[in-house]
Amino acid sequence: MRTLLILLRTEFISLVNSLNRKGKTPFIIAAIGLAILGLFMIGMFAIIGGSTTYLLVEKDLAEYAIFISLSLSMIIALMFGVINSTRDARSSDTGMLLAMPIPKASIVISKLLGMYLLDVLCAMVMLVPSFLIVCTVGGASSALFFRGIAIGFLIPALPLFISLLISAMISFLRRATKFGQVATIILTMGTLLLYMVVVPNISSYAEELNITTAESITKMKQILPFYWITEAIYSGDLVCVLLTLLITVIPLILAVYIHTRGLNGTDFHVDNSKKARNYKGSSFKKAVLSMELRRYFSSTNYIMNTLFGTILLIAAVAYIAYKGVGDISFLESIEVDGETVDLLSKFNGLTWAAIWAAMINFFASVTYTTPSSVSIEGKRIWLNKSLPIPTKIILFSKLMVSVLIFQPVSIIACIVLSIVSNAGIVPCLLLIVLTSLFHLLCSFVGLIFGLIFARLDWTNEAEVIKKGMAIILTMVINMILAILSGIGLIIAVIITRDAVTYGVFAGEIVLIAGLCAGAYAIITHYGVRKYETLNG
Amino acid sequence: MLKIENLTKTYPGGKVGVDDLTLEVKAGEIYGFIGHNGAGKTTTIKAIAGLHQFEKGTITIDGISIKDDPIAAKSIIAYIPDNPELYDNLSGMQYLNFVADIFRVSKKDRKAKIESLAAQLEILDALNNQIASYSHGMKQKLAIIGAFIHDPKLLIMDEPFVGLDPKAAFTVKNMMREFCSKGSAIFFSTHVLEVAEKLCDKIAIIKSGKLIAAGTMEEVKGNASLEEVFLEITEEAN
Repeated sequence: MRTLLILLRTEFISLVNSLNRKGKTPFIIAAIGLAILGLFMIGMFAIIGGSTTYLLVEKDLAEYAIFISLSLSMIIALMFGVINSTRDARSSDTGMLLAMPIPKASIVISKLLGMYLLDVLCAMVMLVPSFLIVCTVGGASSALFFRGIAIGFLIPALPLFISLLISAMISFLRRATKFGQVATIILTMGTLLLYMVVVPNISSYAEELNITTAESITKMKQILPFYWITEAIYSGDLVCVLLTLLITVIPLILAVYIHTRGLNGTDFHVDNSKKARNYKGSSFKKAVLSMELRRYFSSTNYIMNTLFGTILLIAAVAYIAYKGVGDISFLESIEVDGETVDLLSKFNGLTWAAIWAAMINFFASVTYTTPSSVSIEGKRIWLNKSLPIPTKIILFSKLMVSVLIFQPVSIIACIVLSIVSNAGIVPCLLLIVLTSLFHLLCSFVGLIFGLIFARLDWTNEAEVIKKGMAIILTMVINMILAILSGIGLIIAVIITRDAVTYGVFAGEIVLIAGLCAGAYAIITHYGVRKYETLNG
Repeated sequence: MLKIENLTKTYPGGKVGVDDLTLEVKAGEIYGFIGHNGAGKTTTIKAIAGLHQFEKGTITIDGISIKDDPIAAKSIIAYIPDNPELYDNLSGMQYLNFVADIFRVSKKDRKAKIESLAAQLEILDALNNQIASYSHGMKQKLAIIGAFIHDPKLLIMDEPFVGLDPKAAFTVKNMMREFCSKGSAIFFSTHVLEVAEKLCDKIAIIKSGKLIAAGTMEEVKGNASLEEVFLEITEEAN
């Protein structure tokens, strides 16, 4: 117990110190920043949980409301757990701790407690407003509230167990197969999409839901473990309370056991010595580009922070292709001079192309790899710099990676959307040219800021992938560019005159092409010089 | 093969890394570069390899200026850093193929070279493994194979023996001798004075960015040991 307390204290001190890494940010500012972020998250989850519960309680579905809040808290905890599990399970201090006379279980508990407390916080933020509303508006007894709080402390054990299982699976896949990285990315993106689809839409689901109490129980019974927990909270049924204990405490013990076993350093050694060596070469430029692509696809962190726009674009295009443009009603009618105008009936293929361009440009403005592509080289920059590779080729291979992660999907999206909206060949070509140029410009902006604010002395790549001036400025500038481009396109949509729409397309294409040419000149002159002065 | 004339490198903030350094490495020579920590060895080596820009002086490799025509100069050199940070998520084979692609080494030549060098350094069986799983010594061996793969005219090595096991260090020394016997040259830094004494044809001693002694081994140390001479010269320079 004593060692566990020492470890917990050390973890806490480490967390506090991490707020003020390198002593550059005053501690109080870092703490306030973190507190604001925390309050925002808490407020957001509380509002979602509370409003959903209120809507369901009003429909006399109090028990179902608890079930939904419970499910939401599980999804959120699972999302945090999966994101956490993509990191290496063995933190850098594990070896040092294992060499000390500390029980392995203490090490594991000290490491898991942080995750558990975060999950408890998420669960409580979602559940407490829900319990309060069920008790006050729904007229349930206060015993439900206290039972809910007590069981609320147990609930995070379930997603924690699942995320630890996922962590162990990812760890195995990474070491034993070459598909580990792909599996990690698919899993993480899938969980994030699940979160993005379920959480923001839960209130409208509750609003539109029209079922009886009996039907709600049938629905709940489809996910039995959640039903048991809901029953344990709602009615205090002893069997359900016992079952809740069984499905939360046992996995928690299993989680500690799995992690303790993991600390023994079980390694999945793969014998590659018999595997044939591949001596196949490729061209000079292709070799540089493949290296950049390999570097990109080798980092889950890098992919997760840069590929989301592409994933969202795929989801959006799939949705539109499935629904058809007739069902998209956001521009069905607007008021002009007090009169309602049915815009949708005036739309033709060209108008739709303008709408698609605004949409794709928005996704393009958040999908690029270039701001961190220079910094990510870190101490390995000696390799590119000592080899006879022209700096221009190095920089353009970085640009190409950014182009390749978005533009092939974007071009397919343009074609699919043009077909869905009967846009015709010319609007489709305009759409492809405009969106491609816009994304190229976003990537150029990122590369310029990436060079200006290059930082090669990082110890963890997340420092340059997630944070830094290059990332922030690129995001802000590209958003502004997307908004400006969007304003022009939306004006063309509202006016619904082909000549105006063609004019906006042509104007934007010329303007963006000009900006790209300017950015190219900056890269080939200033950028090359700047890269050559960088030292890892 | 390597000609450094009046090289001066000042870091931002005013610290002088190398001060008016002049030396020449001829074809077939193994040239040792020794000095205290922070004396300017790595700065000089990085300037030769084209990693550091410098404000004064010239560096030419086989008559090609690293400043004026860096690509041509880099095409005939190979550089091995003191701490070979390689791409952890590549396999050793992928890394070597990348280097061979950059130097346009044919499939036949790269196969012969890689198999021979990797067998000598005993990492042939590990080439398909990820670099992340390599020890420091294995990474060093991989960087050495990558450096020899295109038959450079000049090999620049910064502390090449750090992390190598005794057998590998012996093999690398033999490879260095064989390499120079074919007319190429090596310029390398080391803290292991015994190695420098046994391996080098010429030696240069640097202190606080200034060259304080240079010449053949006999010219620099006479009948004394290199260690005694090094300590004496560097003390005198104070």
